[in-house]
Amino acid sequence: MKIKKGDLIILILVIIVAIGWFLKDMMWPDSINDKIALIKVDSQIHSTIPLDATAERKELHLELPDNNHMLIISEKDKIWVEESSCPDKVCVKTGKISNPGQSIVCLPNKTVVYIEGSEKTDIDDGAY
Amino acid sequence: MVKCYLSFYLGGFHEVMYVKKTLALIYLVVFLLLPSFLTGCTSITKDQTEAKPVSETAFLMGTIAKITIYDEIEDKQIFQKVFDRISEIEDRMTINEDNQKSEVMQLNNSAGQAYSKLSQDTFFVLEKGKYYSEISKGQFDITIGPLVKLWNIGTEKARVPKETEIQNTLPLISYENLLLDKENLSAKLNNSGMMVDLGGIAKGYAADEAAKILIEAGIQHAIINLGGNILTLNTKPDGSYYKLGLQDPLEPRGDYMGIVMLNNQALVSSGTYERYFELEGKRYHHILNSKTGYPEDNTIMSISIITKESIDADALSTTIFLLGLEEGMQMIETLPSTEAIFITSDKKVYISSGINDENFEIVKDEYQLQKEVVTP
Repeated sequence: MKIKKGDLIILILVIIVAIGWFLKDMMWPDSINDKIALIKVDSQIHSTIPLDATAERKELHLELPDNNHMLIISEKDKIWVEESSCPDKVCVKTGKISNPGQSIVCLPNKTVVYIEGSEKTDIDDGAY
Repeated sequence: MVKCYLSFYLGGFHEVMYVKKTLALIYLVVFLLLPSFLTGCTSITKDQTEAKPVSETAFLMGTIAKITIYDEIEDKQIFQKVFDRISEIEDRMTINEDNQKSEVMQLNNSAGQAYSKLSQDTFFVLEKGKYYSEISKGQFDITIGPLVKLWNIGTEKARVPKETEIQNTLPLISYENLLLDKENLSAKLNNSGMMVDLGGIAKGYAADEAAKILIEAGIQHAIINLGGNILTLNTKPDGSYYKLGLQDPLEPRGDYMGIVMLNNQALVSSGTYERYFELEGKRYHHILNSKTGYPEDNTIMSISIITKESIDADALSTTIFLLGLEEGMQMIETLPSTEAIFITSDKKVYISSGINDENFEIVKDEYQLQKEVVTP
């Protein structure tokens, strides 16, 4: 039962393909482009914005109760609150977010921007 | 998934050993089918994972309340029941001017005059608050209300008070003058102008009560998240511990520097990053020292407490922050089933004796775990 040269070549090819496939999966998981920013107002989903490297700049003007308003901007894989009528501006100060699990919260306006993605996160929830 | 690739590869190897002439053909077939095999494997793995937990959120107690249930939900009203209970507690304990139902406002308004009748809820929380005031010798003080009102940190009215205002306010802070009458479920603040503030403890209590509602409804696996205060019910359905991200105090919310594993435990963090305002380049955070009247100025950037009940973790997070690293760590070690993780402003991480590789992992290299608390 000798392994012939041809078998060996095929075997090596199979291994290379298998390893290559494995590496491809590790480096470019198929979930890479399904990051979505969820914008919730008073616990209701207001809108969703896909975030990926090719997404164009989008401006979302939120008209909120009591003459309040917010301006949320997304560009490529980032999203942030540019302007808000709230007194503390915590949401604006939070800055740009881009990773699944991150969120921007505006308590006075009861508004949350949350990034979802099927990319596996390591945690079940966060303490802060 | 790795297993899947491996078995496939081994399978191929066997074929090399035992099949000879048809080898080339087999390999050709295998080659062509390889991609579909592999994709098949992945999708099977995905199908086998458990049903996704279900979450609902509401704005309560001045923050976001998020309940995540891992069990099958029979009672569709369960989330609303939990939110209603939290809302009831908020109504009883708030000191926001627009709530006339608040027992704590009634207590504060009758300061120096008369006893106020309280619900079991409010009395229990006041009792706990007084207990932590006592064991910290007033570092944590449940009657800090007048000072909180003076600074108003976290509201649009936040400002740095004048020195004389602070000096006039400090004598009003004295937990000894909160008189509790357990028999009649009533309490009194002995001097006029005194105010109780349950901001550092009420959320913890609300989480414990939320857990009771879930348990009564037969829920065994859940996470209660009240504005970052975490309480977990048992483990996840597969028996693994819940993994909770520990906030990086220097980054936006949701960016974590470590992972804490919990099983039927509460985790509450407190820090200088939570609520603050800046004036002339100086940051004033919301954890006020009842002795100096100013935001506590020590090396701690954030403190996280792990306990059985959420109310204890909540009260202790402020208490231990105010006690500082060394004294705080000493107190943690005297309390049963209580652990702590300190992060100091030089990004060093100090842990109590029950924290180890099994229940805590640092995921950012810039944070360095210290073996011992350096004592002078």
